[in-house]
Amino acid sequence: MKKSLFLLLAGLLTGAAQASVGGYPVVLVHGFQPDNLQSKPTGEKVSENGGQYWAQYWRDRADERIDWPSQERIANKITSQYVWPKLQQLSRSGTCDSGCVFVTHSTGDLVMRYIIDNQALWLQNAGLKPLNIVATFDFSGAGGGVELADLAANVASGSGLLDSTLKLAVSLWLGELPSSSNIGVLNDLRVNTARQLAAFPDSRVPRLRFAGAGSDFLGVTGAFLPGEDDGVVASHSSCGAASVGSYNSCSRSVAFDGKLTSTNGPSGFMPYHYPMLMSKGYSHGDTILNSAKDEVTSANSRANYLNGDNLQFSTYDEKRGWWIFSSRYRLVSNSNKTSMSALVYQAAN
Amino acid sequence: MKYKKLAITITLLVVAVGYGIYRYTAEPTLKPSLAVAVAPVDLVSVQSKVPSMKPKQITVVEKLPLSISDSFQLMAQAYASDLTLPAYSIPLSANDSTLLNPNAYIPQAVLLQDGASASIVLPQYRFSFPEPVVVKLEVKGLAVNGASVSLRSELAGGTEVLVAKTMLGSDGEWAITLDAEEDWDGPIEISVTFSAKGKKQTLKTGIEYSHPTATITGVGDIRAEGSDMLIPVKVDVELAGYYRLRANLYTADKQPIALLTGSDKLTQGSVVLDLKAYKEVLAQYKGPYVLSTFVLERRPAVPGELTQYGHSEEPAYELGDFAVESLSDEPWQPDEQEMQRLEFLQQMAGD
Repeated sequence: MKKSLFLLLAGLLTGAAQASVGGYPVVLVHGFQPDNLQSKPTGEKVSENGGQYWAQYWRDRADERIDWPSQERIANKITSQYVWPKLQQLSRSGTCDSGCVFVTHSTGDLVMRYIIDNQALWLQNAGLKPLNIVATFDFSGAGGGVELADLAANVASGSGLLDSTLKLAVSLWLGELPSSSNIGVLNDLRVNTARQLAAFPDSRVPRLRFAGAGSDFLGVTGAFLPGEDDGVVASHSSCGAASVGSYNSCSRSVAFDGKLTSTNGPSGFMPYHYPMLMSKGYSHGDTILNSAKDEVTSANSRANYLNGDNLQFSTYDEKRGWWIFSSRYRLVSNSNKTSMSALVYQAAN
Repeated sequence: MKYKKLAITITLLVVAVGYGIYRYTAEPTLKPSLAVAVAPVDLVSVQSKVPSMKPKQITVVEKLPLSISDSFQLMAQAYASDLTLPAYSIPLSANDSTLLNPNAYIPQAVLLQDGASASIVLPQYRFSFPEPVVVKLEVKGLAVNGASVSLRSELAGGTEVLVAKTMLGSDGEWAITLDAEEDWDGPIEISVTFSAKGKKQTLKTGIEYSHPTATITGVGDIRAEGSDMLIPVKVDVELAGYYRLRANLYTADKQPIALLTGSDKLTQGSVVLDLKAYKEVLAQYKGPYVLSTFVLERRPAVPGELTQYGHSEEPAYELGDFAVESLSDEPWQPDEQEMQRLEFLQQMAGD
């Protein structure tokens, strides 16, 4: 009996140890859930949705989650009714006293920026200890705004003259055409609004970016997004670029597929945003799932990769009379067998 | 062993393709444009492009293996570099367009039928009472018969129209200047409705309109404080609260130097909020200096409260000359949490 109790405790302890990144507890912040605009979940249902959102990989590797409903606005009810109770709980329980790592997806990136900017002030004002946020892992981050949200707001206000492909793109993303009565957090995701929300937190929390350039919508939505995109979010947002732009990569010397080549990447990033990994084949949702969709490359570069000769070369064989064109790809080892999320998690543990 | 077999296979492929090309190719007419780069690469595949009659090229794809820890290492180095300067004084360059224009509005074009497009164009994102709001509608590829604009609050229950006007225009560009009213405060939705081809279309966007909760009225004498040039900014506070001021420091000829940030709990009345410029960011620039591009926020003290904004009486204030050499040289020390973050990133990098 004693032995089985010991084993049970050992198992629980092992489980607890696994729910960490680099030894720090993990808190998840999910993204926009289109069906919420119609179903308008509250209470337990919000929590249930949050659990399902992360079920495939991160849920069982995290200690806590901040779940929120998409029919609300970030600075209003999302924060006051859903984020704030969780922040208080995290503070009271001391979960983040020694440090926490937050993992976000999509709009969770924007919610997180608002949290980083305000949590210390709010908790101090409530007589509680601020959270010690060590870093965030932002998958398919939407903190730089989502052009589709601007378009959805326009579709919702009536579609007399709108292009039919645009309406199709919005309906593919949202599952249906939105109505003007409630577009909730889509208001916050409009590019101008998103980029002005807590644009520059004082706290220097490193924000690690993981971006994809696949699509779940056969490229239909991508026609309305600047540069490369993951079917929902343009690369200016997922990479954390300082400015909106039509970027083909998070890097200026590596393409999304790992090809070493001169690309139209951002010249600067939002404060303390660091692009880490990217992959051509991962769609918006794929980045937090548990299956390998494509090989993964690094979104940052050593200076020597910027040397033109190293990017690609061509040569002419005079004797035989043919050209050799060489393309070089830099790819994370085993990334064809391991999901992007698992690569990150394994690297951290 | 596996790689050896692969290499042999590839070699055979190269030879086969090469031989084929050799058999059918024309005489060379071009010279090499780049030298062959020699690198320790993992040659994993060869693709040939063989035109039906005169094959001329092959494409070689090489994969360079990458360890994920390399990527973390680079990021750790970047973060360590960012920590060498204080967060309250960040160097600026002419390339930092967003930090130099923190109130920019980015028009979002909407695709219409038959390749036409339309966008709402605004001069800025945040407005401060009593600033008028100038709204433009730009339409390409479509003849617009008429356009109107209306504003309403985006706050819950904000269904009441704040103002509605007909826009004036021609040649695809319609515009109106909306004079502000007392009750404009907070996030506001702008709706522009236009008609063309017998149909109506509405475009929407959002702005922030604020009744200033505080006003920057001037700047006191700058002085040295340790390794910082201290800039006392005079503020008339109407609504007490937690304030954060961001402003850009420029040279007299408008070269950007640094983004400065100061935060404090301010009481109602005339107060001073200090900004500081760290010696290292000033080193390359001689005075006189100018302070401009103000963003004065009254931060939400509790969750659910919205950020409010102040404004400045003048767009810029001259600070005069300053002896940078009078500042002390002690290096900046990141705080404990920042060091912990750096250690975490270094740990991820396997350092």
